[in-house]
Amino acid sequence: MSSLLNDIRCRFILLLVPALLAGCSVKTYRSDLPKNFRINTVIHKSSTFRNTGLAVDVHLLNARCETDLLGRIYVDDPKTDVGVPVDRPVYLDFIFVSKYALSGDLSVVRWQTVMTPHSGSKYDADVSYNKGIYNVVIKETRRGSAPRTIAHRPLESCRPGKAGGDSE
Amino acid sequence: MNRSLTLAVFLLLLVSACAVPLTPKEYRTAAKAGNALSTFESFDVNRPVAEVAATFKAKATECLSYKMGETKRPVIGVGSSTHYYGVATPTVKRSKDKVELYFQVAYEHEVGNVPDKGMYHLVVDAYPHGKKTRVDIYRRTNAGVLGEAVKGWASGQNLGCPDPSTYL
Repeated sequence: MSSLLNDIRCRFILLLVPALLAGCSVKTYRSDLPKNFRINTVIHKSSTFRNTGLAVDVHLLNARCETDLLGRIYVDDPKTDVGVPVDRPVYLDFIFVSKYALSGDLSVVRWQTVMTPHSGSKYDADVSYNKGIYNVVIKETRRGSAPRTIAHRPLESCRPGKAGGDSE
Repeated sequence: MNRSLTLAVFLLLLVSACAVPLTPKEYRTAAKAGNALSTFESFDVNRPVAEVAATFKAKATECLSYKMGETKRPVIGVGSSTHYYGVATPTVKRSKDKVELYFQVAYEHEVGNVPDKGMYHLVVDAYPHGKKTRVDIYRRTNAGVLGEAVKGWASGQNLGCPDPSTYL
């Protein structure tokens, strides 16, 4: 039991991610780029003893398919606007963290995707968590066009030399 | 003598009820009988088998393929240690008029006779039923969220992923 007093345990589930989790403290994402990415969040309280929250890690993806963490967005509001780099591949890691009130343990599940935001486009990530089911849908809206859904692309789909490809 | 015989029969029944299904077929049989801590449910959807199969294939990869681990970090001090203890693996098999989805979890240090890729937690069959598609779900009794996610995929009405911490 003393280990509970001395340790923060993060149980986590990595979705298709071979790299080690870097721990539970990550620098905050800060960007002066024009705000082109909106995170719309609807998270329902799981139970009296369990709360779920959301954070989003933003990485750049280079031609060798290596990620470079730019920072973490701590999502506290139903609508969060940020600026993400455009015309180059990024790797987005949506992290759902559930905390158990009695034990203090954390449970983490992650949803990740590679995409290439385009200049002139706006993006909406509709994120939800309800009754144990989470969902992330990213849509792109280009000027004069109807919104279209960006297909989920795991990091494993990245090919060196063609990192990220196109957003669809 | 009668007492010994009764005890032997009881133990035999207990062992048979606890036998680990080693194939999808065995898992289906066990779940229909309410054995292996599993249950069975069936429903129809207004989508052709081909569409259901495509959704299963996409969502299985996105939602059911992951590693499980635990990270410990001291409250005071630096560093962390990460230990992986399980791997979740989905399988989607497509034939002419049927699609099957299996979900298995392999834990480290498992004892006894277990299937390759780990114990079955879910077997799903989808096949034509009149003008609809019949979906049979064989799953662990504590994996209700997993079953709900599969229903959403089959119907196309909810494409979210089940949080593994709610069904494992």
